[in-house]
Amino acid sequence: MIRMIARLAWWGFTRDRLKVAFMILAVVGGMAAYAVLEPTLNHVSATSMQIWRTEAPWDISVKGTGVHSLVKSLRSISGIAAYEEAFLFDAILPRGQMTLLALKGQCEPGGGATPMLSLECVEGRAPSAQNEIALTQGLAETLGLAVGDTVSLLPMDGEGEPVPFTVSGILAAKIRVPVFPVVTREGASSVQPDLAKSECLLVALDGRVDIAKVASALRKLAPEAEVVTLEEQYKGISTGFSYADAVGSAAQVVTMIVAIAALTSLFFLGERTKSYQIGVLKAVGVPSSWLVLSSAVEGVMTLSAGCVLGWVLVTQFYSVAVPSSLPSVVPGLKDILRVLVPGGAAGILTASALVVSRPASSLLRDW
Amino acid sequence: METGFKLSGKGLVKTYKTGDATIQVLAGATIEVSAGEMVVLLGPSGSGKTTLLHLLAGLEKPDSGSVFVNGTDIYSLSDAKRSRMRREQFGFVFQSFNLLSSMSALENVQIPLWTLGRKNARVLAEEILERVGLAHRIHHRPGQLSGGEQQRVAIARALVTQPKMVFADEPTGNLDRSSASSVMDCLVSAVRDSNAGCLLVTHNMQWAEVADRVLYLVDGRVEVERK
Repeated sequence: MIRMIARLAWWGFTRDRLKVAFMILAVVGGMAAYAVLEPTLNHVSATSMQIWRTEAPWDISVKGTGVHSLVKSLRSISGIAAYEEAFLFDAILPRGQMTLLALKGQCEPGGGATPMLSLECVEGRAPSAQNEIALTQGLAETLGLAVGDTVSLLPMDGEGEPVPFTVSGILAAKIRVPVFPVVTREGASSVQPDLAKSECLLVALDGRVDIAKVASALRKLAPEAEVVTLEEQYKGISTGFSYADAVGSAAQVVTMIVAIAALTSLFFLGERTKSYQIGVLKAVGVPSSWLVLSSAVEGVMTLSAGCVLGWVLVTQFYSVAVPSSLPSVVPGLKDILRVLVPGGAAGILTASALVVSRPASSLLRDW
Repeated sequence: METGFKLSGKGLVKTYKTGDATIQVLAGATIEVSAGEMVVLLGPSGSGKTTLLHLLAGLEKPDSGSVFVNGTDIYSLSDAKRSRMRREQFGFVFQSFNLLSSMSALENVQIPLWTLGRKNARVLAEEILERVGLAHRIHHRPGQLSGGEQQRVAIARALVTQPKMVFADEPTGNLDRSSASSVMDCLVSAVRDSNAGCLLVTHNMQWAEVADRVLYLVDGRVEVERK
């Protein structure tokens, strides 16, 4: 019995090449669509959720002497999408006290994700020298300053001389661009000699994690530091992600259903075209269960071939086809295999059973 | 004549529904065929000959009436047991040859043997293909064979398991006159050699001459019988 089933399955797989080729294409297409869809949707939702960050491009700031040394420990906290080592300090500008930002350098946990901050300017450029400053558009208008003008900063303690800075650029009013004036680390040192007190870790969360839990974990890591959460801002991001996740999940489910339906339909049509053959086999005494099993084995062989080919193609060409900033596609492929293989096999089995269950005399009339 | 095998259908009724119309194809047909007996069932196209053959062969259940093989009602058996009975005791020759197009002549003939789990399937298939004059065509696929050759392969497939009963449904219906004679000679001699019973369904009166008995299917009943 097993040999007969294997023979029939092998013949179906090797001798009906066009049908098999179309089915393999359906598997590969389903895998490719799913694999590209998942990271793309995540990327789109992560990018679009930035719009909710109206107060600042981060959700938590951890400020205090030595907090930059905590960077390695951040990896142990789940839900952190990006972080920035920076300096946040106050200084006196011509119109009063203001918070300024200096970056230590841009970095990401795990690398590859979208940078948390951008220093994009609508005019000029980001500061690169000790005496350069980039202003927000609003502040530049308020102070009546343009690129190339000079503005003086006075330390908060009121002691020392005002430090002159040249406006190197006007920051764009865009997502991820800070809403504070930006200077270099050296520039910050010239206004705030004890810069270690201004060390700050700026943390952006993934939108799905509980901000209070992350804040609590950060407080445990740095009990002396000041942990500030932007909860109202984060609430909007969380809600947005819930919707985005729902849309993403729905799109993935639809992709799966389409792939499985395509497989089932192709297999059903394939079985229908050889219904006379099934009729003959039934007539000569091949039991229906053998025929269904052989079709199922044939379907699993086709499915496996499609999965192997799809995996190779998707993993090989994914990095070429999509931006390198998107995360790896492999976790998504594992998910699709978990759904596509049993779903496709069930569909194929059903299609086969539908055809085989017809009486032999009816199948023979299809000749 | 062997008397160990007997196929009989009693009071067979079969009705088909097509849309609102109901067509009664068989209206209480009764027939009997024994081992070694060649029975030709004649009737015009659409008279229900093929339906009667399918009912007798266990391929389609009658609305009423029974089919007995050696006294056992075959429709009281499970589908699996009926399949087993078909592969062990029946052989089929169809009008349209019904060979599996993706397989060679040799493979087509081996199928019933594989289904029975015979280990010498290839040798037996080669032998019978040689007997029907196709030793040189065993590796050809149906598409590469003429109609007459395809029907010879079908005859070989039907007889390779040495069945007790052969059902032949218009075996020459798709063949020209010359091929038809040759195929019929082949079928009759193969059936006679194996001492199987044979029910040959046809609308061609010409084949009545090969029969031990000739039956006519008229208005859904086997009404006339002559020696």
